[in-house]
Formats: sequence, structure tokens, C-alpha cells
Amino acid sequence: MSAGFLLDLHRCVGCGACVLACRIENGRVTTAAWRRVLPLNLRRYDAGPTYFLSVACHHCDEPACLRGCPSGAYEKRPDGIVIHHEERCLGCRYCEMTCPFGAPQYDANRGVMSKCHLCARRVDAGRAPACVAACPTEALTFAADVDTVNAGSEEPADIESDRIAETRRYVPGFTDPAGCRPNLRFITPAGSTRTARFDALAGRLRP
Amino acid sequence: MTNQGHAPLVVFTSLAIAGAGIVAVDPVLRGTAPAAVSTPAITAGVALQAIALIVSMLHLGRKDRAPLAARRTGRSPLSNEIVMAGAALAASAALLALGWREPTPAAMRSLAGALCAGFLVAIGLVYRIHGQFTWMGPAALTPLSAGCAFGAVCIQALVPALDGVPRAVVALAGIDAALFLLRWQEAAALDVSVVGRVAGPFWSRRHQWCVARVFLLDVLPLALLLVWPTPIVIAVAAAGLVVDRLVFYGLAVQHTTEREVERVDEEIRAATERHGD
Repeated sequence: MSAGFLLDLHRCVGCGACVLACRIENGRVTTAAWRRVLPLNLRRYDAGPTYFLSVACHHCDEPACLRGCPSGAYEKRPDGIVIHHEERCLGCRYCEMTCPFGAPQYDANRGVMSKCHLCARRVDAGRAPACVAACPTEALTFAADVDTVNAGSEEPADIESDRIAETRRYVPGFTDPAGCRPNLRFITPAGSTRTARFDALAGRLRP
Repeated sequence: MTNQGHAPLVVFTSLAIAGAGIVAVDPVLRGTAPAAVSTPAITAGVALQAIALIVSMLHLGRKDRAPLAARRTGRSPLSNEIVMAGAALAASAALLALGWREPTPAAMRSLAGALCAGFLVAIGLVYRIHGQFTWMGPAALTPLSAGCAFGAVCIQALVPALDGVPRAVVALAGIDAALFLLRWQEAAALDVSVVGRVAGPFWSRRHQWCVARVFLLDVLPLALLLVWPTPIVIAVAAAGLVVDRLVFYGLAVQHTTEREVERVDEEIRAATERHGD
């Protein structure tokens, strides 16, 4: 199982409700947020696409944080959620270096790292993560297994199949997913012309 | 990690590389025959490693949990480095204690040297992180080469029995300079217009930093040993080692989503300007 997120770039308006919900749910009002919304092509040049990337921990299949951690503070649950156990953390900040997505955040007050746990307690109780529940446009969606979403076997109820057909692992601005195999899938604008244009740009802008 | 976050790592790795480097090259330069007594160089090597370990522990957010750092030995490069640091320090301290009054056995000196060399390799491997491209390649070997070059200069300057500049010292400095030139070539090949903007002002002067590093750590100490062999040469090489560490972290542009977004934004802006939009 690979629990993760689906992000519909066509629907996300960059309102930041997901960031706020994450802060409130996890009591991170004054410390660094686990979720960020990054605008791409902020100046809206015609030469490139314009959208928002709502990113947090991607609960990778091969998490760099877990692989490098010297004290075993990270654990990957059978459902794919990567949990950070603060009681085992040294605060060495090695995971901050190794993660190519900037997910682990250092909490200077407590001297430990912390990161998104995909609202594991909510998920265990059958509820959506706080960021997903707060998204007003349903751009951000939780998937119990992102790899089976395309096949339709684990489709979230609120995702139409024509949107799911457009999921992809990489969009310009997202860190190359080859290394850690992050569990974030993007839904891009539908339509053959728009898809072809997007693919051409993605090919050109990929590092 | 921010540049400010790298400051304790610059101090830790500078001291650790210097200390371990001295003990690692001791059997190479002085041979494997029993040495008369522990030299001031070995004493300095042990002291530097001990201070480095303390600095390393002090930079932890939770110092009380430091023993947990060895929990994933064999699986985490950082755990491996910490265990190797402990082993290298213990062997170096034993070498110092045994050789305080009597000649030290060759096997003991070789063992301490090998453990210190292993520690230097482990330091490099900590940063060989998949996906973080600026730490890949020859960068992983520079702690070993820089430590050996520094250690060779120290021993040569502090052990009066060694006259002239042996080939081994020249070879170690040459290998270090060659490895660093490969690293420099990699850094120069990165797209400065994009990476430089997000990496800060260090990038705009990276060639000057690289020249200073090779000059201070490899070229000038050798020249000084030839014409004016005084302990001042150690200060010059130490400055070179600190510059080496600053270059190591200064050229480490961390790959994150924020950086990638900035890179793509920059490319879009450049494409727009090319088309005159």
C-alpha cells in the first residue's frame, strides 16, 4: 500500500486553507508549517504554465529520511504512511539534508524534527487528513493507494474517473521523483491540446 | 539546511578531519617500524578528534539522546560515521597512552591509522546523498584526501627526524589537489545562472574560494616546507582545511521543491525574454 495525495492543478487556487488546517490540526500555529503552497510562474509569463503546488511530506516508497536517520526515529507503516517518532529524535537534522522535498522541519524550541504524518489518527478513524478536509475546491485528495487510483480500484468517491485518467508523477517545479518515489500524483488539465502543451513544457522544463 | 545550520558542521568536520588525518598518515610517513615515543603530532591528533566529537554532540537538538546515534549502525551513513569517530578516537588515544614513554608497536600505529582513514571515508559517505547532486562524485573523497594532506604537513613540520620533504608528502598533496580539481570541475559545470541565484553569494566567488583552498592546503605548505620548514606551515594548512570545509558546504545546493520551483520560474522567465514577450 502507498498512501498519499492527489493534487488537481486545475482546481487548486492557492488559497492556503490546507496549510491553515494542517497548522490548527497539529498545533503548529507558531512553528514552521508542514504543508506549503508554492506558486509556479508567479509572474504569469505566457511561456509557461501557472499553477500552485500544495506540498508536504509525500510518504515516499523509499524515504530518504528513514534511510539516513541514525536513531531510527522514522517508521513506515504497512499502509505506507511515514511516521516520525519525536521521542527517538536526536535533532541532528540529517533528515533535513537528505529529503529532496524539504518535508522534515526543525523545531528549535524542542530540539527535534517533525513532519507531516498524514493525519494518521484521522485516517485510522476513516476520516480524511485535515488538509484534504479543508480544501474548498477538492483539489487535494487523499488516496489509500496512489498506485491503484488510475486503475480505479481505490478511487476516492469524490474524484471523477475522467480526472483520474490524467494523473502523473511529475510536473514542472516538482522535485524529480525518481529517487525516493514520492506518493503524490498530479491531476493536470484535461483535453488533448492542453495535455500535449503541458507535456511539451514538462519535457522542456525537466532538469 | 541553512548556511547558519552548517556552521557547527564546518567546525566539527574541520577538527575531525585534521585530527584523524594526522593519525592516519603517521604510519605512512614514519614507516611501520616502532616509533620512539608518541609525537606532538599524535597528541594534537587525539586532542582535535576529542574536541570534534564534543562539538558534534553539542550541535544536537537533544544532547541527552546522543547514544541513540549509533542505533542504526550499518544501515545509516551517519550512524556509521559516529561509530567510526568513536573507534578512531579510542585507537588514537590508546596509541598516545601506549607510546607516552616506550616505543609504540607498529601494529598499534597501523591499526589506529587504518581506523582514522576509515573515519575520514565515513565522513565523506555521510554526504553522498542520493538526489543531492552537489555532494556526489569526488566530493565524497575529499575528507580523506584533505585529512591526509593536512596530516602529512603536520607530521613533517613537527617531527625533526624527517629531513627535507619526502615523496609521500608531495604525493598526498598532489592526490588531494587532483581530487579537488575534479570536484571543482563539477562545481563549475553547474548552471550558475540558475543555481547561483538560489545558492547565495558564495557561488559568485566560488572560483576564488576553490583557488584559495588548493593554494592554502596543497601548494603553499609544500613550498614552505621546502624553503622555511617551521610550524607556521601548520597554521597555513589549517586555514586551507577550514576553507575546504567552507567550500564543501558552500557549494552544496540542496535540492528541494522550493529550489526546483525557482529554477523552473527562472527558465520560464528566460524563455519569455528570448521570445520577446
